[in-house]
Amino acid sequence: MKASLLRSAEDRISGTRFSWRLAPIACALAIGSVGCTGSIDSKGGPGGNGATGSGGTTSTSTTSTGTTTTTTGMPPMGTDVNRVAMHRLNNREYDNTLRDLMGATANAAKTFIDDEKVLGFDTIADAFGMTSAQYEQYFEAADALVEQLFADPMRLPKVMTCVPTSGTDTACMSKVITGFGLHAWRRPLTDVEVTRLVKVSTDAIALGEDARGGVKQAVKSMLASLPFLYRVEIDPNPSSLAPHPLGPYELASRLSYLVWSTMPDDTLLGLAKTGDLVTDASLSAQLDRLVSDGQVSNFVTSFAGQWLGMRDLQGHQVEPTAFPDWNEPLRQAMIQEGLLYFQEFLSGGRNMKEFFTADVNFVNAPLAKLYGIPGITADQPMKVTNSSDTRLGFMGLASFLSFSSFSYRTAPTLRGKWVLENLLCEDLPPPPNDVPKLDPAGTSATMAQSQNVRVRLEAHRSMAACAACHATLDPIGMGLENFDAIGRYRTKYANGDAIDSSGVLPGGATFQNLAELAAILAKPTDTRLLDCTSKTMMIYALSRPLAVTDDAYLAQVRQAWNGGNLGALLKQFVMNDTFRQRRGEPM
Amino acid sequence: MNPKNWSRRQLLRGSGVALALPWLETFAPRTASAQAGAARKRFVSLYFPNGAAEYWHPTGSGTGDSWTLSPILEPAAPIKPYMTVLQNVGYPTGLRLCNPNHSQLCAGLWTCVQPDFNPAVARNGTSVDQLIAQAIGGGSSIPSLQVGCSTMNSYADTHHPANSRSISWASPTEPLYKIVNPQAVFDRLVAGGANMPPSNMNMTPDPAAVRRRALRTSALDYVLENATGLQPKLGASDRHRVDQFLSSVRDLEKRVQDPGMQIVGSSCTPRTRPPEAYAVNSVPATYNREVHVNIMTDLAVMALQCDVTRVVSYMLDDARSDFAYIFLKGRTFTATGSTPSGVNVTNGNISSGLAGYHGLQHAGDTNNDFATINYWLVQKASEFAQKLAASPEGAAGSVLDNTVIVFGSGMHGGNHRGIDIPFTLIGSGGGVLKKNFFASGPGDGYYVADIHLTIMQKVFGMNVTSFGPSTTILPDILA
Repeated sequence: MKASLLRSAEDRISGTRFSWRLAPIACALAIGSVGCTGSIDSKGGPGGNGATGSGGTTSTSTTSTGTTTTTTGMPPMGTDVNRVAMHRLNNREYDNTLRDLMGATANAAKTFIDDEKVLGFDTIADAFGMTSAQYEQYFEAADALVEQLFADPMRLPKVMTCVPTSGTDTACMSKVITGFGLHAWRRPLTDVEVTRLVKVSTDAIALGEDARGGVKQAVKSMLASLPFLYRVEIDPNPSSLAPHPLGPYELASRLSYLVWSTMPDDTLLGLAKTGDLVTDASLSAQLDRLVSDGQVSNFVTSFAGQWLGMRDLQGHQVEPTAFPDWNEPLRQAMIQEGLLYFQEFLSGGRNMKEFFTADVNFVNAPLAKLYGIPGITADQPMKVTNSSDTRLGFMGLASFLSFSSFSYRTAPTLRGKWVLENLLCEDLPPPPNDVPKLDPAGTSATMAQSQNVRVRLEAHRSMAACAACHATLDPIGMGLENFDAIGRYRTKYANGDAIDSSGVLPGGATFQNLAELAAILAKPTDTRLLDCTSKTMMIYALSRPLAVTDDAYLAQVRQAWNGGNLGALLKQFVMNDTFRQRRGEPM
Repeated sequence: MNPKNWSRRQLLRGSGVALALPWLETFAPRTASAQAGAARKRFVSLYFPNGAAEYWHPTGSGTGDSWTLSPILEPAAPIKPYMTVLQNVGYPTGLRLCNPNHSQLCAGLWTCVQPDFNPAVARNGTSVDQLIAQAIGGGSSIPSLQVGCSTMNSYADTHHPANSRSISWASPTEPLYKIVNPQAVFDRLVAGGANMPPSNMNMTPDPAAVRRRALRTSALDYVLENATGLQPKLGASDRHRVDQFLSSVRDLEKRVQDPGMQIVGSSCTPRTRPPEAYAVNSVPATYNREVHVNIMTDLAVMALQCDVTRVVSYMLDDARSDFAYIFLKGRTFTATGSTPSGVNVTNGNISSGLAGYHGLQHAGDTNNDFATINYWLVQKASEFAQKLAASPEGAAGSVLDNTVIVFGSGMHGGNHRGIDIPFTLIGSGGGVLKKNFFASGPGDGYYVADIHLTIMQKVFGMNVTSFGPSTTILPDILA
C-alpha cells in the first residue's frame, strides 16, 4: 500500500512537483525566515505551550525529508497541527455505529459503494465525497433500519425512552430526540435543534402519522442528516490559522473512531460532558481502556488489515489446479493469524523491533497442517512460540507469503517489492515497458508451479537492462523461496531442483535463509522499519495526508517511542498536538 | 399550469402541507410528456483497461464491406453494422507526452485533461458523460448511472485511486464512484422506476404511497435545512463538502417527488433481484468475473431500456487491472484470426513482478494471453450492444440506434502510450454518426477530445464549444 506514497518515475520525468505533502500551507506557517525544506533549529526552552504529552527530553533527529529538528516536549517551531476534513463515516464505521446506536445489524459494508482508499487506507477524510448514488443508499438505509427498529420490541426501548401519549406530547418527543441525538450526532443537541426535530415529528403527524410515527420520522431524519453521516469538527473561527484544542466531544469521536471504528460509548460521552477527557491523564487512560477492550479488533482489522495486506488476501486469487490444498478456511486462518501477529505487537507486549524475527505463530487446525505443526486440532487459533521449524517473523506468515505470490507460483520480485514498499517505505521505480515474459506461452498453472523460479529469474537478471532494479527488488524474495505460493515450507521445487534461498542485499550483506535475512533486516542500525511504522501509523491516526509541517511532530513521536510496542506508538500519536488540536483555513 | 414549475418548498410553505398532497400526486404521471417529442438519446462510456494487443486494428477502410474486423475484434461481428472503429486516436497534450500511465489515461480518456499527480487529491476534469448528463439527464429518473465489475483494488500508479476507478467526474474534484454490487444497482434502478409492472402505471394514487412520499420529502427537506444551517460555521473546503452533500440530497429529492413512472415501450423487461452481492475484496469463493459482467450488463441494459437513466458509465475493469483472468480459455492469435490454445490464460508476468491482466499487458503486444483478455472484453461489449439492438423502440428503431457507446481504453498497449489507443463507437446516436465505418486518423491522429466534442454537439445538440483542448469537431465520423 505504501506504493501510493511513492514518487513515480513519471513525476520525475515530467518535472511535476510531487505534491501530496501540503507544501503551500507549510510555507505559509513557517516561522521567521525558515523555508519549506530548510533546517529548522528550535532552541526554545520548555514552558511555551506545554500541551503535548510527549517526553521532555531534547534531542536532534533527521526526518524523512532531511529536516533537522529538535524535540523539546513543546510544539516544534515551523509546525502546524493542521486540520482534518469533515469526515464521512466509512462503511465499516457506519455499520458499527448503527450497531451501537440501535442494535442494528446493518451491512453497509456489503451493500454500499466501496470506500475510497487513499494513501493505503479507507479512513482518509479528504478522500470521501458524497455522490447522489451514495446519498441514496444512506437515505434508504436510514429508512429501512429505523422501520426495522420500530418493528422490534426488544431493541426499540433503547431509543424510545418514553412513549408519547398523543400527537401533541412534545415533551416525550423532545426526550427521545435529545437522548438519541446525543449518541447519533455524538454531541448534545442545541435547544433549537431539538425544537426543529420535534417539528419534524409533528409535521409527520399532520401528514397522518400517529405519535409513534412522528418520533420515527425524527429518528429517520437524524440518521439521514449530515451530523450523523459525517464527523463534524467546528473551528471557533473557521478562517483562523491559530491552533485550538478540539472540543471534548470532538476528541471523544476522534478517539473512538480511531480505536473502535465506532461512536463514543457512554464513558467517553460522560468524560466529554464534564470536559475531563481533554486532560492528559484522562485521554491517556481512555486510550488504554479502548485498546484493552475487545473492540480494539476494529483497529486491528482496519489498520493492520490494510497496512499488512490482510484485506488483499481476502481478494487474492489462488489457482486450485496448482494448489489443491487451498480453500476458504485456510484463507481465513491465514488472515486471522496475520491480525493476531499484529496484535502481539500492539497489545501483546512485544517490541516492534522483533517484527521480522519473532518466532510466534497463531495456528488452527488447517493452518497447523499447512505449517506441519502437529497436535493442533481446534478451529480456534493457538499461539505457538519457539517452534523448531524455520518459519519466523512477519515474512514467515502464510498470509504474507500468499498474497505476495502469483495465483500459481511464487513471485520473489513481488515479495521483495511488497516488503520494501510497505514495511520499509522504500521508494521504488516502476518497471519498464515491454518486459519479457518469464513463463513461456502456454505454460499451465500446474507446470509453472513445479518449476524453478529462481533459475529463470536469474537468467532474466543477467540482462543488463534488468539487473539494476532486480538487484534491489529480488533478494528478499529469494530468501523466502523455501515457502511456496501459499506459504508451505519446501526444500525442493516440484521438478526436483533443490531450493536455494541465499541472496545478497544491496549494500552487500549476504544470507542463506529466512532466519539470516530476518536478522539482517532487524539490525538496530537499520531504522527503516521503525521509521516506516511511525509514518504509516501517523497517517492512519490523523486520517489525513502528512505535510512537511508534520515532520517535526513525526520525529518527536518516533524518538519518544523508539521502537517499543505499537500500543506505545499509538499513545504517542493520540497524545500529540496533531491529534488533539486543529485550526481553521484561509477563506 | 405546469406542475413541474412548482417547487416542493412553494407547495409546503406557500400552500401548507395539507394542500400540498393533491399537488404531489400530480407529479407522478409524466409518461405522456416523456414519450413525446424526439427519440430519447443515450450515451454509454464503456471502458476497459490496459490497452490492446497486436491484431486490434481492422483492415481496409471506409464503410460497409470495404473494411474487415481484426482478430481481436472478431466477437464484434454481430454489431459491426452499428460500429465505427478508429485507428490512430490519441491525445494532443500532456497525456500524450508525459510518459502517461494507467490511472491518468483512464480518467483522462473521458475528460481530456491531465489528472493531478497528487495521490491524496482527486482532481481531473468534468467527464463527457457528466456534461451529457447535465444536458439530458433531467429527462430520466437517475441523471446518470455508474457501474463496474472490479472487485479488487489494483495499484493506482502513485496517483489518486479515483483516477483508476472512476470514469465519471461530475466536476473536476467529484469522481462519481461506480457500483460494483449487482444487487445495489438493481435496487437503485427499481427505486428509479424500473421493473414497475404496467398495472402500477395507472393514474389512481395509492394513499399510502402518497403519504410515504410526503414523509420522505419532509425528511429530505429537514436534511437540506440542517446542512445549509451548518455551512457558515465551516471552513472553505468543508463548505464545499457540504455543497456536494446538498446537491446529492437534492438529486434524491427530485426523484422522490417525481419517481420516474414512465416505462419505455415493450422493451422494458422486468427482472428479478440478482442473487449476486459483490463488494471489493468481498466475493464468494465461487466468484466468476464472467457472471459478474453478464449480470451487470443486463442491469445496464435494463436501465437504458426502461429509461431509468440515459447516461451510463461502465468500467469492465479498473485501470491497471491486476485481476487474473485465469478462468478464460486461452487463444492463439495470428494476423488472420485466432484459435483456442487449449490452456487457460496465465496470471501475469513474473519477470516484471506484475500480476494478472496488467502483467500480461507488459509481456508485450504479441502476447496471446493479453490478446485473449482483449478478445473477451470485446465479446462482452458486443453482447451489451446486441442486447440494446434487440430492444425495440417503436418507430425510432432500437435502443442501440439512439445510443452512442464509446468503447475503448485509454492507452495503446504494452508501451503505455497515449497514442493510437483502442477506440470505437457503437450506435449512431439516432443516425447522426456513421455506421459500419473504419478509418485511421491522419498525421498525429484523431483526438479523443474532438470526438467527444462532436458527440456532444452533433448527437446531443449541446451548446458546447470546447472540451479539454478541443474546439473543433471531427466531421469524419458524422453520417
